[in-house]
Amino acid sequence: MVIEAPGRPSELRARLPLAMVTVAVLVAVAGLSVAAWWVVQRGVQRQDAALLRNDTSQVVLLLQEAVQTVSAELTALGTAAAESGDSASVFAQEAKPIVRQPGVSVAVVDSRAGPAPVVLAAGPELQPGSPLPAPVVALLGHAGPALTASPVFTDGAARVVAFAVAPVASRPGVVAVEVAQVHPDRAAPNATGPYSQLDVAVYASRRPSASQLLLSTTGVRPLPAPTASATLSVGNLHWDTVGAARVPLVGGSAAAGPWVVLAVGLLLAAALASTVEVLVRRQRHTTRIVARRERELLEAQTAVVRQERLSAVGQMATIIGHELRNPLGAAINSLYLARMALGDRLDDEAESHLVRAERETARAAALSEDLTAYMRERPPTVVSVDLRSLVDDVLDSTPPPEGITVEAPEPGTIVDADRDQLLQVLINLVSNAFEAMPDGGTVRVGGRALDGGTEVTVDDTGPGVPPEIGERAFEPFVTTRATGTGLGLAIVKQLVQNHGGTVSMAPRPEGGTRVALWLPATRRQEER
Amino acid sequence: MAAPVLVLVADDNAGIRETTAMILRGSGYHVVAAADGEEAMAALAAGAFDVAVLDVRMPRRDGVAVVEDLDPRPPPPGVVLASAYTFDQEIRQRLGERVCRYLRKPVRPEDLIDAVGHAADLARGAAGTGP
Repeated sequence: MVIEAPGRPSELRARLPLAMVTVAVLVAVAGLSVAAWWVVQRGVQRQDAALLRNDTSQVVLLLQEAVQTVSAELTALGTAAAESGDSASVFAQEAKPIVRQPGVSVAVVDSRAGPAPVVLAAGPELQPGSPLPAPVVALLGHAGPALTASPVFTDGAARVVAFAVAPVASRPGVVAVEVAQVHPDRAAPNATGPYSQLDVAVYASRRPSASQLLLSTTGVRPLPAPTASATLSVGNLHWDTVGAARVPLVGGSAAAGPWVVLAVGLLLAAALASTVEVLVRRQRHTTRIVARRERELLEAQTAVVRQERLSAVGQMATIIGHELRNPLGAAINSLYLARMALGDRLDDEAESHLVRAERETARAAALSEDLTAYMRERPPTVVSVDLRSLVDDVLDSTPPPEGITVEAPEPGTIVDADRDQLLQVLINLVSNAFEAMPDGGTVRVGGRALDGGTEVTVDDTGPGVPPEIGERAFEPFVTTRATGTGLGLAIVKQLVQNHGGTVSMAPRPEGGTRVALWLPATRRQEER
Repeated sequence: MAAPVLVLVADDNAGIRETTAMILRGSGYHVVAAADGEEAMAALAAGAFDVAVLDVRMPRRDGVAVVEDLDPRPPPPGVVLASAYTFDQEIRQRLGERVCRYLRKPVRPEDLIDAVGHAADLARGAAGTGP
């Protein structure tokens, strides 16, 4: 009956605190949770990216409006200057709302007038009759009705960007120019408005470039990934605009979704695994119980079979024991009658025959008595017995032969036993001891508390038991004496075992033999 | 001179019955033998026995039943019960004073003679003080 398969699986199982199936369930469900988290997370990220692209495009549209305003203002400025014949007052009128913005300068330039073409100017960067910075001069060559812008360049201490428009309606060569200071190192404010959840950076180039940064809501700090970009196109101007989300655009709860999925999945994994573990342990426990019950059942069955066999043998022995008694009785009676009948005519030879017949019939009678006692098992009725009073009874029924001294224990040594059965045990042991010392000696019966019970010892000063007998002395029909039945010690062992006790025989170091029996204390102290 | 002591020996085993009778006769008793319980009852009804040596296991009626059926008037014999089996406490209590002595088979002749003598003394004593 194998409960667990031998070999590697059980070794592995012994090392793991959890059942294999539990680990499998845990790994599978946790893996599914992680997969679900990944899928949902990807979906959320895609959604977020789409929203970011959309919002960035919207921001570009807003910026485009602002740049178109610049385009319209410059067109109006150039047209007004041309139509008014470069009237300073008209220019000042038109330029006033533009240069009101800090760091912004405007001018009307005659692109065909040589190195100092500024005709009219307003703002900090440009003065009439002064030379223009090289990037602005380069810009003039490309100026047309549509807005044109320069890259970001340094003009003195300031970083600036320039715009130019050559209005169609004006006279040839007239270009309206705007130069605006930029401060990319200052974080552009974006705390309110519909796109306040975005960080935005605008470059005066088609690709992001640090030198062309016009403005950024994060200042010099780079935008956090992920980003989306869109191109701001007005006239010939193409600026790259990059957006990044400050908060999840899909919303906090949607962004938390994947983590909720993961957490629920892992909790589910833990719950399922613990349920499986409980079931597995219960099942193992049940298997163990079933196995133990089966084993107990098998043992009980074996015991019953053995008991039945013993009982059959026992009944046979009992019947033989009883049936022998009548013929034995008749034989004993006849021997007696023969002795009476012969009387004085009994010669030595006849006497020796009669004596042998009488001895052997007596031995047969004793054997039948012992056989009956051995087979007549009954459960012990345990009471507290004083060992001394028991020894006194033993000596009454089995008086010590001449030359043998008996040392009995002091009163007060208590043994829990069936009194009749323990008496039988002591009679057998003490009479064995007597017979072991035909030339006299000492028998000492002792008792002491030991290991939750009482040890009773019977010592003799005889020649000792031959080593080849050893523990076999307690087996039935093993004897060293010609006249013994071989059942005395077997009866002792049987009775002691019925008490749940043990019995052993050992040579004493100072000579002789000690038989020690131990009987458990079964009655509680207060009952005594 | 006192009348001879009359003893009934009841045992279904012929060897026991005959040798027991012979041993008791040799000791001076007047012995009547019975082979089963019914014979024993008939003999006891017919004569005034001083002692009855009864086997427990007998056909038709066992020794215990014979003791239980004894007529208390006139004074019953002193009873010696013999058995190959042990006498349990219940039987001893049930029969009480009606049995003088219990003997375990095989019975030593000396024990038999002693038990019958004891039973005869008791029975004679009871008869002497009786009505």
